[in-house]
Order: sequence, then structure tokens, then C-alpha cells
Amino acid sequence: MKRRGFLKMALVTAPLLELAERLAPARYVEALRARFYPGPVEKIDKREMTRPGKWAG
Amino acid sequence: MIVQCELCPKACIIQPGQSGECRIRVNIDGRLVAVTYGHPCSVHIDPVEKKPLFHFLPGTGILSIATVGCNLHCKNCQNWDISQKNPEDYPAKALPPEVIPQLAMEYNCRSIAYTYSEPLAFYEYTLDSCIRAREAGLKNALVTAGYINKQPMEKLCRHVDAANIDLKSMSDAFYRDICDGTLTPVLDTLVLAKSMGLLVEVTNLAIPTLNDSDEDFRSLAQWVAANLGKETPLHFSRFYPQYKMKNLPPTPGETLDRAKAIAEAEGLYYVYIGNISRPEGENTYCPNCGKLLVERRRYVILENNLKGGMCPDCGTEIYGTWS
Repeated sequence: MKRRGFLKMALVTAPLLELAERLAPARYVEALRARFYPGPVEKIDKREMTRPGKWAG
Repeated sequence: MIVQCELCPKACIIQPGQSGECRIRVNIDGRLVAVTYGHPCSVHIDPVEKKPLFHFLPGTGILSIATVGCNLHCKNCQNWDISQKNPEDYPAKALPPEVIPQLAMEYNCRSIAYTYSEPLAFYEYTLDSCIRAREAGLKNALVTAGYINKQPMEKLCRHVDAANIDLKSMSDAFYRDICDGTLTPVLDTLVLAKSMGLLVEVTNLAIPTLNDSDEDFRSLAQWVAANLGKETPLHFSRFYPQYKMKNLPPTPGETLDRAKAIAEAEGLYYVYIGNISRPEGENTYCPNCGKLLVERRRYVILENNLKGGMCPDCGTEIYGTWS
């Protein structure tokens, strides 16, 4: 296939593939349980823990 | 590979490397991952009355847990500093579900609360922790906005004993404009939780000019009475200006008194006022004879006259889990 033909075909099929994926994504109700936290992790301060939380609820 | 999260009605379509609206359910290599699982940002022992749960093990401490993230984005959120944070930006503690019962029992807590942010967004952590807590003989309570699909809620409710569910307004427009959600799924969650035997208490945060008219309070009380039962405790809570809603004043105490009077006139037995001290606003009275059953101030029980969950004078059974 010539380069121009290949590019034309890619131009048409790429959005179609993306559309197909959007129309039929993998559906999940429950997620996988992560093993690692993406942010900083610190130890539980048990003295602080025994005080009521500053948040509502 | 794109994934779609079907946990809540938002049904987020998530590109690889991105998260859903809740910030904590992430598409990693085409798989949906709950990234805050086992990593709460907040772990505290609260009085159960703080949730507020007034008809559930009064006077006891409750181990209260939250991770960052929420699937709603209320402009008036009281806990926005954790609910609207990304996990990358907020430190967490390592606390896997199997350790939670041990921690609760170490501090004489008889129950665990999944609270502060949105326990239905950190669903897998809530679910697994509830199962572990039940196995250890502890009770579970949710404090939630109730924005979730029916199937996962049903599964979770099998392991939960009590829930305080926010009913922010009876207006769908309010949910859309203020919370970035919709009303119907919340109503469905309330009915489902009650029908599955959870002790359900309802909280309504009264915000000046937005949901504080007589008609707002009346329609909410009527819906609660008709769909959840007159015995369902209803808490009217005071709004304080914060997050993206600093332009409105705090709710006047008189507004909350008016809300309580309207809800009682609609037949609700147990109506409370919270986030502000009002005379008798936190007390429980017998709906039959009017006897003072539980006297509260802030989060302290001053007097508890219940006898086996019943009025000591007339023997009326009072809705709740009392021991």
C-alpha cells in the first residue's frame, strides 16, 4: 500500500476504533483492590485517633 | 482500554490513567482500581451522636473511617478538604479491613462508621471492612449522600446495621445545581436501605434561600413519612458558609425551629436540630405519651430513660438499636 493510501485508511479507521471502544467499554461495578496508595502514607497517631474527628459526620 | 464504572449513577467513562469523578476509582491498564483501598485519610473515635445517629447505640464511641474522594461535588461541602482531594495530595494511613475490628475493640468501640467523605465511593473498602467487622461481632454504620446504583447498594446493605443518609433537598434542580448529582437515586437508596432492615436516619442541611422554605421542609417531611415511615429520625442541620458557598450566611436557629415544627406537624415522631444548640432540639420524646426518653446536649447523653428500647411510662417501643 502506498503511504498516502495508508494514511487515508488510518485517518478513517482510528476514530472508528476509538468510537467502538467508547461505545463498548469494559464495565465494572466493583473495582480491583489496590495494593499501594498513590500518595504519602503515614503511621496512625493513636493519641490523635482517640479525639473526635474535625470533620462533620 | 477504556472502562466504565457502574458503581454510581454517574457511570463515568474513564480513559487509561484517568479517574472517575470521585477521584479514587482509576483506570490502570484497562482495569478499574480502587486506589484508596485500605488507606483511610481519617481514623477517629467519635461519639455516635456526632454522625448524627441518635437511635443507634447511644452514648457509645464509634470508630470512624474515611478515605479521600466523593462522587458528588456539593458547593457547600463541610468536609471538602478530604472529599474533594486527590489521593496523591493527601496523606493516608495503612489500615487494611482485617485490622479494623481489632482496632475498634482495643478502644471499646462497638461499631464502625464509614463517614466524613463518601463511603459509597470507597465502596470496596467499606464492603470488606463491614464483612470483617460483622465477623468480629461489631456493627456497621454508613454516613452517606446515598448516590449509588441499586445492585451494589443491595450487596453492601446485607452487612450494614445503620445509616444516616443525607436528603439534601426534594428538588432535582438543587441536586443538579449544588451537588452535581440527581435526586432520584438518593430517594431509591433511602427506600432500599430501609426495606433491607437498616436503621435509617435522615439528615437535611438547611441552607438559607436554597432549601429553607416552608414548602421545602414540608415536602421533605411528607416524603420521609410516606416512604420511610413516621418513626424515621430526621435531623435538620445548620449550614455554615464554606468551600464554594461563602456568600450565604449561617442558617438562623429560628429556621431550624420552623423546620422541626413543620416536620412534626407532618407526623414525624423524632425530629432533631443539629450543628447548633437549640432548647430540646436534640432530645428524644415518647411519641405516645411525651415522656422525655433521651436528653442530649451536643454529643453527650445527659439522661437515658429507655427501658429495653421502650418508654418506661407507657411501654411504647421506640425505633432504634438501643443495645
